[in-house]
Amino acid sequence: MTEIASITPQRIERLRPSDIRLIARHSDELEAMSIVLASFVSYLRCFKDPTASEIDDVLSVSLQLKAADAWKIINAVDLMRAFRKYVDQSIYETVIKAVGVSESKDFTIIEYIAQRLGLDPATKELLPEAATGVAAPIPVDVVQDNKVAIVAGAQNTPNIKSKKSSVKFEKLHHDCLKYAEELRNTLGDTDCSVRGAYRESIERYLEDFPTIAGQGNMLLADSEARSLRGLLDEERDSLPPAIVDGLHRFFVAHQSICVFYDGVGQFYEQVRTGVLAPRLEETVVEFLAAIEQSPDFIDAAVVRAFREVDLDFKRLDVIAARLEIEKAVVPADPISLSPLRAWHYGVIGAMNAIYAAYRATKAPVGRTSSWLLSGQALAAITAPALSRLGASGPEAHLAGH
Amino acid sequence: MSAATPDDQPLRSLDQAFGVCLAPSRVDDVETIYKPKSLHRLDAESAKLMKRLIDVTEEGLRVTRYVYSELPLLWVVDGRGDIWFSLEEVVDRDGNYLFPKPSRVPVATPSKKLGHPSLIGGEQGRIGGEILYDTGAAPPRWFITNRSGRYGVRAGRTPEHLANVARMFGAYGIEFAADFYPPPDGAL
Repeated sequence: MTEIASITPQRIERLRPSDIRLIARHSDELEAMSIVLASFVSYLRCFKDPTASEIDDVLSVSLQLKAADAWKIINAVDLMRAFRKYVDQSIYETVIKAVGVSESKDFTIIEYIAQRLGLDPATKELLPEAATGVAAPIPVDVVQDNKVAIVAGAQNTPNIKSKKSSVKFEKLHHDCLKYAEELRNTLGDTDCSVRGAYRESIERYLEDFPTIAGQGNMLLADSEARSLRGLLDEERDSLPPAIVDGLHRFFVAHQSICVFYDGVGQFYEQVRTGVLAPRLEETVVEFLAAIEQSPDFIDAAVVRAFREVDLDFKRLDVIAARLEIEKAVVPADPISLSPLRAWHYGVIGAMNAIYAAYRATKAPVGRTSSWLLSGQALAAITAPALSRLGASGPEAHLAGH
Repeated sequence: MSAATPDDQPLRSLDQAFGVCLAPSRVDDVETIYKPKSLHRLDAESAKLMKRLIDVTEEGLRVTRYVYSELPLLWVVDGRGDIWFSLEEVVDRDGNYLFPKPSRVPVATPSKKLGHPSLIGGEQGRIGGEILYDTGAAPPRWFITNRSGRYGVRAGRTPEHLANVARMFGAYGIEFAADFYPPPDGAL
């Protein structure tokens, strides 16, 4: 190790054949290579508006390090992305063009280098960007303890533009909740002959219904309302008239209140024009496994919410398949919804939102590598599905990894 | 494609021996205007002087050993196949020699460094690189490398091109070990 310590930033600029052989002998050693590459990053930081001659030097050093197998331990692109903010753009491009892209490696060395130089690496730059403009069925973000959690969003916070609108919202909110609770109570009566699926659905609706701004999820509540609509279509003739009336009242109130939650409309707008992603069942399983394995970064409530998105929208699709739901409207459905597309968009929108929030967390000191590997796993599962939906997602970026 | 003429033959031989002529992808203005003061073309006269430097260093003169371990000489083969070599010099805005460029000493504006293109007026060149005495090698010795981003590690450069340059010096009794750095995968 004392030998490799001679590869200082000064020496990096003038690597001799013997230095290259020395580096090559240590090219598998994490700590030794962190000394070498820290010197390299330190050297690169010296340049501001470099001359042609200086770019020439950087190119030469990059290739000498390649000849010394220095890039065996870390992809040069990853190293440069992590320290991009400290390096002139032309220097950044020169190194990447010279060395090219190799496989992603153990990212621990980035942390070693950062510690040696007292720098703050941009670890999130090593993860592809999440897709933009994809509506999410669940509002997630990074919270204070650097975890992905459910937060307030357009799915659980009403958009109230005026005092008049506020009054209207309060009334509708009150009515909707009241009708839903009445329905639950009626369906819960021991004398009620209606099958249990109705009661289960209205209970889930009440669990999701945002009773206060920032909590619950109107989009998920809406999916339960759609399930109830499907059940009613199927069994309307055999249901007691009081139940049918109660459901009607409830549907009208629910449709009215949904207008105040922008997340509902935005989501269905995408569903309306959407296409289907292949192998979604498998994608869901893989993504669930990936987020369950990241409890330090992703709150358990997010995992539950994702599972709920999958189940709620899938349930809707199953009912629709039986009923051809789009033909059955009680009362008239303002949204011409394909349940299958809703499921696809719901799941993939949730995946993208969770991944985007994960990327916004900070890699914890000492665990950069595991953080990056988890993020890459999430991106790798999310990107192909997003790509099939036509979203400008992380696919191209992923190709570099 | 036109038929080859007898005049093409030497050119093709030079391409084969030292790589095709390529314009440097980047050149600083000063590199097209000024030439290093320490510049030599390799010929019988300059080789005789150079050999004395090489020999005295190998014989153990520590002064030159440590100087040329840190201050490599630049070299380039021009379009005609001539080999040029010099120190890497820093000049002022009027092209006046200031000092040889040591590592990690920033070149303050308006001073500029004269890199490889300055040896041949910023023109197209064949392979280029550095000559240095490596005190860290076992045993310590003189090396010639292709460490030049603008001529030496361009697409198409091969170890054979570098070996041929070493042979040109060898013809004058100057022996170098050759150390070749592969060019980037994509052409630069």
